[in-house]
Amino acid sequence: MSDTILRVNGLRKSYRRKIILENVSFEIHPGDIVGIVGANGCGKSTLLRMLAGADRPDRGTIEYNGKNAIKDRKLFRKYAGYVPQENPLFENLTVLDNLKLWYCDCMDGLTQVMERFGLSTYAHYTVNRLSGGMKKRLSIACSIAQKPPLLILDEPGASLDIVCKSDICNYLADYSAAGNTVIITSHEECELALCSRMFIIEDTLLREIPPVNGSGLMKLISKESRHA
Amino acid sequence: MRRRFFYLLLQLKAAFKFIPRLFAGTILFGFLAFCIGYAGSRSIEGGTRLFFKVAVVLPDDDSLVNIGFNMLTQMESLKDYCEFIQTDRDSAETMLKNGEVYGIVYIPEGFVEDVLNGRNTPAVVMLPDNPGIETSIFRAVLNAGSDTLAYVQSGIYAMTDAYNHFGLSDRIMESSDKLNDHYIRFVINRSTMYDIRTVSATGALSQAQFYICSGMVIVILFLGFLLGSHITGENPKTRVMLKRSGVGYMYTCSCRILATALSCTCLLAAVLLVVRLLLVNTVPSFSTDLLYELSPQSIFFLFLGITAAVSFFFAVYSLAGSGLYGMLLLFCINVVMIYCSGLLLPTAYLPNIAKHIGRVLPAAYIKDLFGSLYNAMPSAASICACVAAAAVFSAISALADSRKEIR
Repeated sequence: MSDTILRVNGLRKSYRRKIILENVSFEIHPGDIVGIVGANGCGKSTLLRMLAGADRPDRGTIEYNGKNAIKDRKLFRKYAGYVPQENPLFENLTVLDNLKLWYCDCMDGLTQVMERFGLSTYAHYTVNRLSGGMKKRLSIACSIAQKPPLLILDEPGASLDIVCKSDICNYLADYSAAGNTVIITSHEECELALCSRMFIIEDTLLREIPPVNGSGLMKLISKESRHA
Repeated sequence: MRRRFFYLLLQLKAAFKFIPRLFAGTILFGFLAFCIGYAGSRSIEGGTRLFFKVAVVLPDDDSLVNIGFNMLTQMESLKDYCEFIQTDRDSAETMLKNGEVYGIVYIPEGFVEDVLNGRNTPAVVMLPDNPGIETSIFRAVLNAGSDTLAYVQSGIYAMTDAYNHFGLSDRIMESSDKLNDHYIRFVINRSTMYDIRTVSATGALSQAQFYICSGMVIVILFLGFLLGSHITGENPKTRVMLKRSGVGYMYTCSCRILATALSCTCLLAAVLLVVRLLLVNTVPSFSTDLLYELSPQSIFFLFLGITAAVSFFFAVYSLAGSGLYGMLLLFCINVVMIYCSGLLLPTAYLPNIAKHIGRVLPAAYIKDLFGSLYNAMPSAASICACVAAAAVFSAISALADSRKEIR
């Protein structure tokens, strides 16, 4: 097995002739918790969508375990679980229905996951009756159905209360401790505090920065935004 | 494969959970459609017996024209369909402007004498700029009459010329009388010229059946407003995630359309069944002509028609991009479609432009399919049109959904 789970090389993305990301290259190793930060609209979500296979880059390669996922898109499903910012759930169906859709190939792990995320009590609740925190837990539970070694989360703590944020942070720490990798975009201190590596996107370019704490990071982002 | 099947099951579950909300709307829109149908039916009833009112301006002091006009107005075949109002020029024109008469006939002085002498003195007929169905028919009848007169005249003139040419002038009078007799017999005995064929603007259906089917289509079209929250309710991110896992937009879109159409069909079939049972058991005198048959074939055609309609709703909402704009767009298209597809008035009574528009909209074909409730087999063209509409609208909807993901 390669020591690099994800290698991105020369990634470029534009929308309607406006370049969002240019020449993005980096490598991620198993067990890393990678934070991607930047001002609003800088292209963080776009980068995550491409890494998750939900969007196609204009050019560049994304390799999972040394294999080009752009050519073999099944690799995205195999290696990466993706939790977008908006919860990808069927609001008028029950928690159990939502989980069954994603766990239809591996029903045996369903009970364990429901217990881990505290969803057992709510199994027969329709999703629109759940709190924001429970919906996010359900989204994460759905995304790890295929037991991916890499979990990609787009601002998981946004608009959640402190208890939910803390719960998600604990889960991510456990997930990483089990040898898995996490890529996360966030503005939340507790989530960024988990990160072993950190990248910042500015002026369409991605560069690695040393992990900093929340207040230091906010200063950095606001400084970069002013320069931009 | 398993995920695709499971997705279909979930969509069916979601669509059937939506039925209670649809049911309330069905009752409301059913009542609305009944009112529209009743108004349309009354409007057709008033127009089934055509009666032409025509103003006639005769020359003063022309006794021959007066005699001819009196003879004409007393003819039994004309009395049933025409009322000739003898008046002066100014009053006739005022009546035409006010829509009180369908046309004006100006008879020039010496008209009858000229006809008898073989001179062509035309009678002037004035019709309104934008004629209604009655005026159009009156014009056609008038043209047919003048054509017949022209043929008769040319026959007699030809005979007169031939006799003069061969020096048989003394026999012209006798032969003219004989020829006139033949012509008159030929004209009076209309069965030698015409076949009697009953043509109905409502096709194979009776008027009441036509409006029941139209009413059902209108209810389905109105249900599009209620379905808006169901259609736009699914988070687009869910479809992105499904796309990631190999379930494409076309499949997800088709599943949603199929599930929604199936739930609507079940709802409509259940309502129709209950109404039929109620009518049979509580109103024994209810006309059997109006009792529809819920056979497997008719339910299948109901399902096909509803699938075409539902796929149309999906396409409209997907193109509009939001529930509110979707409702507005659907309302505008529905209004045009209800009129142009002949749901209010049969297409025979519509202007040509409306007929052309109606042909490219699905409602007329859906109504044709709904006619199967009265054992009127829908045309192959309607079946194909509904299948094609369902496929095209599903593809449009899937394409619009996939484009939405590109910022």
